Amino acid sequence: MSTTITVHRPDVEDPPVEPVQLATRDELPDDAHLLLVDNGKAKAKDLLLHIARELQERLPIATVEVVSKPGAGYVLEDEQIAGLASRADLVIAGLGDCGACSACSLQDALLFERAGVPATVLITEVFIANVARFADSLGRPGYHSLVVPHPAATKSDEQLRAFAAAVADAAVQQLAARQPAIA
Amino acid sequence: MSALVEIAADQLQEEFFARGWTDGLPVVPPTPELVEAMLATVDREAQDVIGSIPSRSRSVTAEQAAVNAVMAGCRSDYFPVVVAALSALLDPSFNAHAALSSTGGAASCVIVSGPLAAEIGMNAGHNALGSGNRANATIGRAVRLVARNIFGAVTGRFDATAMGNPAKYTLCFAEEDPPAPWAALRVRLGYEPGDTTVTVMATEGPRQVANHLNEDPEGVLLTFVSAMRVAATFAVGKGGQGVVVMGPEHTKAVHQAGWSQERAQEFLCRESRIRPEELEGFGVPLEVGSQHDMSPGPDGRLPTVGSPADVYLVTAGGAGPGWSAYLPSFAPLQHTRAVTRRVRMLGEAMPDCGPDGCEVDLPSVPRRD
Repeated sequence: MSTTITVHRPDVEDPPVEPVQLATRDELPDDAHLLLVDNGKAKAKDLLLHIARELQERLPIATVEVVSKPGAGYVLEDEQIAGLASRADLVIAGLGDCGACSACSLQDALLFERAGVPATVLITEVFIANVARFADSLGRPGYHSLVVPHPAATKSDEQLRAFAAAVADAAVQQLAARQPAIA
Repeated sequence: MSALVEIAADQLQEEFFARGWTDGLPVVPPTPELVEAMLATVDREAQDVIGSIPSRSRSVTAEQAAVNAVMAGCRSDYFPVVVAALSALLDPSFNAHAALSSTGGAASCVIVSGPLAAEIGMNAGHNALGSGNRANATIGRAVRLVARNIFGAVTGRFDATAMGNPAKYTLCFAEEDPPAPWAALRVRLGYEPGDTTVTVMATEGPRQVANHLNEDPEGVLLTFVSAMRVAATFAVGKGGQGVVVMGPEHTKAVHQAGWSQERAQEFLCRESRIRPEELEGFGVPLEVGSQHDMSPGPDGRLPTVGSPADVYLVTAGGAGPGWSAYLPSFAPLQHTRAVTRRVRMLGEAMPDCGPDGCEVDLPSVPRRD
């Protein structure tokens, strides 16, 4: 007969997390302000700006602001989020094309959602599962994302423009309420 | 208290493998008695928090650290070193959230400097970075098991490592105090000679440095430069940190020529700077408009390490024809920095700061600009 041994579990249960409520997608003002949170990864800013141009053709976005983080492996501080959220109507954070940076850009996006600003995260396709796991742990399972082919950092400007065009409609869906058509 | 489970004794190892609780190697069963013995070596209550990763809403308690240290095979007198290592790893400057999730697959390089290393039987001599010493092997392994079991640093969970390296099982060694007037790492970092410190850096695996035929200090150091200025290293051209593990012959060559450690660090920092054409010649394009400023300095070159102080020069290893090692940080400085903590022994409780914190006298640390 086998004897038993009593041991400590070496792991921990996933801690309870406060669910993240998505910001309300209200109708945008005529002069909406789009904030791009560039995490500094190669080509991230270029790709984000291409997406912004695509969105300006679909939504009433008057101004686009780029905030560049000093390092992709950190999340924006609460005070930064508060300051930026006070002037942004929409946020796109990215580019999540690595382990740490995709997790941190996702968290940036969720912090803006918490602050009441519709947001999304831009990632490359191989990080879909990674971002999904972090979204679970951060309190928003199934959080949306804009997914472009991987790798993006090696692509030409023309290819980046095509990537942006391909995700623009998804960005509208994720960020905005149904909008009146732009004349 | 961490949960207790009952497992059939003859199935314990298989059960731990099946539950994903090990690094792929068998473990010592973390029985309450062994965990208690571990905790008895530090002035910490079981539920005291050693550190946290806020982005994961996770913290590690002394008891959870002790459970994983037992599993790693630590003797109880190693535990104060494990606690100090975890405390360093969880300092915000180390950025464990990034280091434990990056595709770069960083190892957690643990360097122990001070008298406690010898007292607990750590190896600073022959095979210091290799296998065969229980303290070296299990202290480093305990740190990784905590990363795995508490902070989710597991493939398929939060560790996105693309390639990985064997140093992710364990990477821990002791410094051999250098010959005077050179000073040990802990002293150069502002601690007392009688202190024992633990420095943790997120690194790649070690690369061997061979030079068997040269006693000229510049010649020896230039060989280190050839191991540092490598286009394939992510931080090269951007500015990271690195651990120079100088073996006895190379130490002697530089030391007997009258060089100070600071002069050697300055030399290594300066000479490891890389020309943009050198990077491009190896197929590595320069990043433009990114988080990494790759604009050449006045010398027309780019940094391999950020400053002389980012070269962590330590002496270790055994006598031979002339072997050393170099371990580059896995990422540039804006993502991660080495952190040092003094080992606190039994009777050295952390100050009770209450809810509003309190003032603590810290040793002076060289200023880093």
